Formats: sequence, C-alpha cells, structure tokens
Amino acid sequence: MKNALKRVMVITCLFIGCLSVNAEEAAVDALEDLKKQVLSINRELFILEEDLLFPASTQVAFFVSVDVGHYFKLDSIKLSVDGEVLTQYLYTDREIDALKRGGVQRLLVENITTGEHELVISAIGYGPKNREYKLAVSHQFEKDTDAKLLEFSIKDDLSKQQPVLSVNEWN
Amino acid sequence: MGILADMLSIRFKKNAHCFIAATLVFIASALSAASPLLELDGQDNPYYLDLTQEIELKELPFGELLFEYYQENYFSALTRLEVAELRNEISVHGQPVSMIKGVMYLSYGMLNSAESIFIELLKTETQDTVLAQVRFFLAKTQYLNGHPEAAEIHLNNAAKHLSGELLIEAQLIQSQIQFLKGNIDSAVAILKNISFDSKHGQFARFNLAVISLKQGQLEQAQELIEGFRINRSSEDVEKSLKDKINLAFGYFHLERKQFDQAYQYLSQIRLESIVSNRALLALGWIYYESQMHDKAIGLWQELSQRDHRDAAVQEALMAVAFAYYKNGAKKEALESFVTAAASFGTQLNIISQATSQLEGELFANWLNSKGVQGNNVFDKWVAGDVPVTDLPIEYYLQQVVATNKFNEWFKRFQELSHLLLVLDKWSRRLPVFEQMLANHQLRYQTIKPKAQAHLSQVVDQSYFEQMALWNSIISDKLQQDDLMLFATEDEIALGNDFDRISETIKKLELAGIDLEDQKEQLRRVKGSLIWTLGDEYGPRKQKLMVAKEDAENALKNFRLQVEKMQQAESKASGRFANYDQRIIGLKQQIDDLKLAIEQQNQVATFEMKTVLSSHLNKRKQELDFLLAQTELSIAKIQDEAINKLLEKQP
Repeated sequence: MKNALKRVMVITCLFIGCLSVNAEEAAVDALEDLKKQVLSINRELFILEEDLLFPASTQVAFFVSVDVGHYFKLDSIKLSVDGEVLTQYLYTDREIDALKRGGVQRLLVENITTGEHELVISAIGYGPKNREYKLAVSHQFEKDTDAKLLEFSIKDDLSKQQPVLSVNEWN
Repeated sequence: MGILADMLSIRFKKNAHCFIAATLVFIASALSAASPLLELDGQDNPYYLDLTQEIELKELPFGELLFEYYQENYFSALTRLEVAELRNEISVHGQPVSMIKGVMYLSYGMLNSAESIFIELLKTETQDTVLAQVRFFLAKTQYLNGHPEAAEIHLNNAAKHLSGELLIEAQLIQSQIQFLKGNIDSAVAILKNISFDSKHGQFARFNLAVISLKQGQLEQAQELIEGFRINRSSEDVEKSLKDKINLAFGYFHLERKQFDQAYQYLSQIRLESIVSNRALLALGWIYYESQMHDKAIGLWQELSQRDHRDAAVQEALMAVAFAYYKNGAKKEALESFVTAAASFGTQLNIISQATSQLEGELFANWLNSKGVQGNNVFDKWVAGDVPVTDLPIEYYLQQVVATNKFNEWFKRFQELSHLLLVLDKWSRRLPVFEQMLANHQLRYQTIKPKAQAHLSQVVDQSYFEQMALWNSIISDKLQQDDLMLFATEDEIALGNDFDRISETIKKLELAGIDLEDQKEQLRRVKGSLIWTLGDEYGPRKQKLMVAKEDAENALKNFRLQVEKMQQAESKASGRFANYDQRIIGLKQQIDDLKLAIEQQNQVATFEMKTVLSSHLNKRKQELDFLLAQTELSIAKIQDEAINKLLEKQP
C-alpha cells in the first residue's frame, strides 16, 4: 500500500514537473511570437509615420559618423539650415562608443523645401589634453524631389594631426 | 542535561544543519541569479560580434543598425533592419547583417529565429574564424533552447578559432554542459582556465565552488576560488561575492566543528553585507561552542537589534535565550524567550499582511513600477543595497528577486511591458495619423484646382510655340543678313519712319514732284542707321545669342517644372491611397496584440505571485515552528520554577 502511494506521488510529481516545463516552454514560445509580431507592426507603423510626416519630396535626413580617436572626443553637435538652428544634440558615453565602433546616428529628419539651402554644422568636443575643441563647416546643398541624405563625418586626419569635419551627400 | 536542554540542543543542532543547507542553497541561488554558468541568459550577456575587421560603410542603414546594436537597443535595431530589408536598403553588407541579425535575435531572446539564421549561415560560411563565430552563436542558441548535446558538438568544433569574450563564454557553456551531465571534474577543469578578470567567469567559479562545498569537496572549492582578491577599489558586486563565498566556507567548517577555520572565513565578512546577519549568527555559535558564552550572547544580542524579519535575527533571538538557559540564568532565559515569542508573533502578523498585500493591488502596482526600468533593476539589491520600506511585502520581494524562477518571469514581464509600451505609443499616434491623413487629403483637394489652373494657364500662354517662332525669325534674318535683327526699339522706330518717308516720296514722285534731294538725304540717313547697326553688329549679335540661350534654358526649366507638377499631381492623387484602410487594419492588430500581451503578462504575474506565496508560506512555517519551540521552552522553564517552589515547600 505504501509503495503504491509512493508511486502515485512520484508520477504526480513528474506530471506536475512536465506541466511546469511545458508551461515554461509555452511562455517562451509565446513571448517570441509576440516579439515577432510587435516588431513587424512596429516596422509597418514606422514606415507609415515616415510617409506621413516626412514625404520624400521634402525629406532631408542628417546623419553623424565618427572615426576619431586621438584628436577629438565628440561631446555635442549643432545643426543649422538657412540660419535656423534645427537641433543641438548632447551625446551619452554609450552613443559615443557606438559611433566609434562604426555606428551611424540618424541625427534628424526634417522637411525642407526643394531648392538651394545652406547648412552649418558644428561639433564641440575635446582634443588631446582634454582641451575644448570646436569643428564647424558650412555646406550648400540642393534639395530636389527625392529624399536627401546628408552625412556629417568626423575623422582624424593623421597627416595634419587634427580632426576634420566634412559633409557627404549620399544622393 | 534536562529535557529542555536536550530538546534545544537537538533543535539547534538540527537547525544548524538545515541552516547550512539553506545558506548554501541561498548562496547558490543568489549567485546563480547573476551567473551565466547556472543560468546563462542571452539577454544578460550581450557579446558583440567580432567586427574588428574594418568594414567600409557603403549603406547608411547598415551604420544606423550598428549604432542601435552597439547600444544594445535590439528592438530598435531589429526594427531598423526590417525596414531596411523591406526597402531593399541593405544589399552590399549581406553577411555581417545576417550575423548581426542572428545575434540580435539571440540577445533579444528570440531563440528560434536566431537558430534558423545561424543554421543558414553555417551552410554558406567558409572562413574559419567566421564559421567558428556562427558555430558559437548557434551553440549558445541551442543550449538556451534546451539542446545541450547539439550545442556541445558545435562548441567543440568552434573552440579552436574563438578568442576573447566569445571563447570565455564558450568555456562557460561547455562547463555548464559538463555540470548538467554530472561531470563535475570536467566542469571544474574548464572553469579553472577562465580568469577572474572575466566577470562571468568569476560568478561561474564561485557557483561551482559553492556546489563543491555542498558536496563536501573542500579542495575543489578552494581551487576554484584561489587567486580571487578584493581591495578598496573592487566593485560592490565583487565584495558581495567575496562575502558570500566566505559565508559558505565558514558554514562548511562550522558544520564540521572546525571552529578556527570557520572563524577565519566568517570574520572577514563586511558588517554591511547582505549576509552579515548569517555571519554574526554563526560567529556566535563559534564563541558558544568555544565556551565563550558571554561573547556569544553579546554578539547575538547585537544581532537581535537588527531587522526582525530576517531569519538569522530570529534565530539569534532564540539563541540568546538558549545561551542564558545553558548558563543557568533562567530568569533572563525566560525574558528572552518571551521577547522572542512576541517577535515571532509580530512576524507572523507581518507575513499575514504581506500575504494579503500579495492578493491586493499592491503587487501589481509594484510590478508596474519596476516593470520598465531595464535589466539592472535589482543589481543593487543583489549587492545588498536593499531599499527597505514599511511595506511587509517589499522585504520578501527582496528575498525572492534573487531566485532564478522569479527573475525569469520578471524578465518576461519586463519584456512584455516594453512591448505594451511600444503598442501604447502607436495607439496614441494612430488618431494623429488619421488626422494628418485627413489634412493631407483636404490640402490636396484645395491645391489640386489651383495647380490645374496654373498648368492650363501655362498651356494657354503657349510659351514654347512663341519661342519656336522667335527662333525661326532669328534664323531667317541671320541667313538674310538682316541687320535690323540687332536694332534697338528706337532704331526700329527710326527704320519704320524711314520706310514711311520713302513711301511718301514715291507717291509724291508719281504726282510729278521732284524730290531727288530729299531722296538723297533719306538714303544718307538710312545709310547712317545701317552703318551704326553694322558697327554694333558683333556685341549685339552676342547679346542676342546669350538672351536666346537664356530664354531657351528658362523654358527648359519651365518645361521640367511643368512635368514635375504633372507628375506630382499624378503621385498625389494615389499617394495616400488605402492609407485609411491600412490605419484601420493596424489599429485592429495593435488591439489584438495588446490583448495577447496582457494575457501573457497575467501568466507572468501569476507565476511571480506563486514564487512569492511559496516563500511566504515557507517563512510562515519556519516561524510557526520557532514560536512553538519558544512557547514550549517558556512552559518548560515555568514548570521547572514551579517544581522548584514545590520542592522547597515542606
């Protein structure tokens, strides 16, 4: 009688154990499925939002990339277009690290009319010996009916032993 | 020794064993909560891909993706990647993108998606180092997915070409697989190759050391922690680990009555440590067993001043009373037992309050307050920096958050909460999109007639036909060498006047009037005009040609603008076609998803509550036992006192 009772208890325990493992697995699978669905809907909504807010005919996107080590440590960036300040951005250490590893930041997306425009970009940071260092450059660009992609690139110029800020047009 | 003393002795002896076991379990679970060895979690251990090889950026979206990936914003990075894939924006950086996608899925806990990507990569990749990385990530995915055998094969194949953090993690997984297979020696051998400089290696070695101690393998445990030192600059987590390992070693020796060795370990534990109560309790027992009863009582009394919700403090309350009793100070023993009983009663009430708080809104509110604070919400708790509040439940929550089971469900809850936040954000924005869409449509309806009117005006003005006519006139006149082509308005008027005079002279001559002098004068002034025009021929022709070119260019631009206007009109008419339907569809999808997420959140909440309930029940049972023991002891002392009184009576 005792043995039978023990056996029932063992089987019950195993059954409960199995149920618990199955519940666990089901929860893990359900979570993955939900993540997949939310990612998909997030993508759809991201595109919808961009279409509505920034149609290609007026869209100008500004990017920042960094390839510096010794001569410049980026702290903040300021962007003006046609004399109007569009953004001032202060970087976190995490962002700086991501930029240094090769990441490109989408700094801003704006609606700008077609035609000629002038942008001024200034980057504030620290040079060797932790001295404040400011880089600035102005650039004329033509906005047509396609989306415009402009990259601000900060690089170490080894020959001049100083950082260089330049503007690259991707289209 | 009387019955009470025997009973107490057995009770404490038994309890000491239980306590040691419980401590080890506690330490193991506390350590494993933060350790990749026992609970390897892709989300907690974001190892970056080895992208040391410089990749020339050829597509901006790839750079954007890296920016999010390196910040561990996997959800944003995956969204960006999916958008880029849909728009075909990333085609050049194919291989690294697939690899990053797999790693991001792995880091974001989407193991099935990650596994299928790595399996595909394994089929196509040929370069040894990259292949090793693929194998490693596939192995990690399979291990987390509950397939250690498959993971082991891939890890064995990959190990030769791995380096740095990936190699360390590969060794951790290999060691864990050996542990699961019961090959403790192999697990230890692998772990011993991992330096203490690696945080994950550090946790894993401590974990295995604790397990070795539980199995009575002191030397193995010592080998595992050998070389680990802390100093003032060590991080809190390292100091906390050191405290916990000292506690485990201290109790190991105490259980074997090796008091000197136990003292060596226990006395090194910091007073502010999360395990200091247990250390003080054990040190008291060392003093007690070494016949230094006063010191033991002093230490336990000190410990009794601490938070009475702590199990070690509760043990100390009993120990003080027991020590007084053994010293023959029965009055003090009785008082101490009464104090202990009162405290246990209070604690039982607190547990009862905590249980009802668990059922009420409080737990849900607590979860919501912690749910979105990221992965490191309990880091300080594990290090001992616990935010004790007046709410009884909070204290017990602090104890269960160190357990793996609670943590796993809590992480799921956090992830689900994040998904809900994302969907809530879109739910709030969708009405704005609808409004914007309506505005766009209204604007289109307003602008359309104006644009059409403008276009038809352009067509009516027939600029292009006019220009063609002028071109033909210029070309004819140039062929005819007609200098009047370059005449100014005044000169043309003058030329016209001359023509009229010439006509008049002809008419008068027909009437028989002699006008030879006037004809000669007219010829001379006409010649003068032609002379002037001939003199200015070069610059004027140049000016005309420039003006002609400018006009043609202006017309070309004008034509382009007209075309763009026509294109814009055709685009605008279809630009937001079906957007309203899309928005309605997305709204429905969001609502359905929110519902599904909330259901999963309820499951997670229920599971967390279950863990907490079990913990509260366990504590209640322990307190019930302690209270019963205390009450029995009080009764026994009172009996003894009554018996003594009766003996004294004649």
